[in-house]
Amino acid sequence: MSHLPYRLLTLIASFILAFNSYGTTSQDIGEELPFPTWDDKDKEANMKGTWWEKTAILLPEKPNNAEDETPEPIIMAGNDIMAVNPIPEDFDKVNPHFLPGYIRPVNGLSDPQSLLDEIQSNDIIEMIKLVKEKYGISLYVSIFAKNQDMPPSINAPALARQIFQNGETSALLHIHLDNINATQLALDPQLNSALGIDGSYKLLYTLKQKASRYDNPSDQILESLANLGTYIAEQLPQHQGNQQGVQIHQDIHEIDGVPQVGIVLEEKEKKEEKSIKELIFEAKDQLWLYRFPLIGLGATLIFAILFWIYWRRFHVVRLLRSEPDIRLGAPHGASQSRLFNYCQQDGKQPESVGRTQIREHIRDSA
Amino acid sequence: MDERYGQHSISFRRICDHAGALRQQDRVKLNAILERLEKKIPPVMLAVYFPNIREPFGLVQHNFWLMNHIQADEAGFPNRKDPVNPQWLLILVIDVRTDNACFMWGYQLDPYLQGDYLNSAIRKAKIPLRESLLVQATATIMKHATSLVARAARLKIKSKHTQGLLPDLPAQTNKAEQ
Repeated sequence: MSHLPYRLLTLIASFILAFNSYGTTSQDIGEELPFPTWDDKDKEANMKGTWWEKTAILLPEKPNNAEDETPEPIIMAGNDIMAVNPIPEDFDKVNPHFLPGYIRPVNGLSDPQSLLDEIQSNDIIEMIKLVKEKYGISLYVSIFAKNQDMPPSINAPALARQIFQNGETSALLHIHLDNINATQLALDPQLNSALGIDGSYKLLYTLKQKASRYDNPSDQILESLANLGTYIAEQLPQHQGNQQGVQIHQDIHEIDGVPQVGIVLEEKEKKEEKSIKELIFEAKDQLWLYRFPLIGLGATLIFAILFWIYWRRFHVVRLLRSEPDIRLGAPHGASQSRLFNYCQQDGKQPESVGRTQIREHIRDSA
Repeated sequence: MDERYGQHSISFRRICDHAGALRQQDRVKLNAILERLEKKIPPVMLAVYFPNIREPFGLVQHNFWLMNHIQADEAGFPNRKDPVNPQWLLILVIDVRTDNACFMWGYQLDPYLQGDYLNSAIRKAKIPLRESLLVQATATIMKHATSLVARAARLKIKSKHTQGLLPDLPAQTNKAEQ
């Protein structure tokens, strides 16, 4: 009975009412009964859950303590139980059922209250992954309703202590949908010390200011994440990574009256090349670390050069004697090399100047 | 050749400038260079000879005659630790009239030098020779020749037993030989 559609039941009930109200005595048997109505008021009352009050005659009396009872859990199609009854319009407080969900982010996003739809969630997860890939920074986002109060156990610093991993550069954003001014920011200790208190406040102010250009909460979140990643990368050189930065362009164009926003990647300006002196100055710590091998290498080179100079200048080769091969009656020697004419032109050397002049100290006798 | 050039001995020194190609200061300078180079390849004696012969195509015979009529003494080769022995002479002959140059050497250098091995040293100084920069050219030639002799000597001394080389005698015995 409970699975039957409510509208069908209401129709049947209206039939019964109409039939009962007219009665068999006041009408002829062949007369047609009026068709039951289902107007906008009925529709609205049904959505609000107040239609049954109009038709209270069909229902048993409501017990007096019904309002004190907690609503029965609604069993969903897959036998999952939803802890909260149809979602009320305003959240004043975070239901304790959702608190554990905030310390278990899924791909960096904590939205246990399902305030974002699937597409918005996917966009934010993609942005978090992109920042991680480009800059190596881990970003986390926690989503709350507009004016929702949160207990101290899940404020930004408390969540950050439980979520952040050791050795990672991490940042957490607490976002209240449609209330960008209530955004909270938590940074890991390394970032905190790098930026300082003033830097952190300045960063949060910048994020809020840039996000407030957008009306759509999803765009505000994406803009905040992109600016957060870029700002951190600029402050910490080890995260500057690739030249590509992530910027969101408000390339808004309307399709059938619905504004569409696209995310575009744009390249940052290239860094200036550093001179060798600057590189050496930056690497001076490493040079200091390898000072002994460098000194050894230099000493080896100097020693090799000095040894070569010594060898060329001072090395003596003592020739050994042999039995002379005396020939042709010559007592001293009989070996000569071929005559070499050093003035033969072979086309490779310039013309000789000396050949055209008579040497002063050589005179041909008459 | 004795009939042509005579049978007398020629007093020889490190720089023999019969052609008058060098000035006095050039001879002194060149003498110092040769003295320094000699110390690298003892007991070789380095010398330079500028002949003054007028007949054409006679340089080779003249050199042969000269080599075997040399009278070398310590006055012509000062500042030597080893005794003076003409068989250890390495002479650079430069004929400034016919623009020819060659090397000649004594019997003791025969195991180390063959053919035109040292002519590459003359080729290295071709330009200064042509420009009559004789001191510069001679210094360059003898420097390269010294390094070539040293290189050849190092190779031969490694296998001295197969090359017919004899161990070096003490200095007194060398003088007795002389």
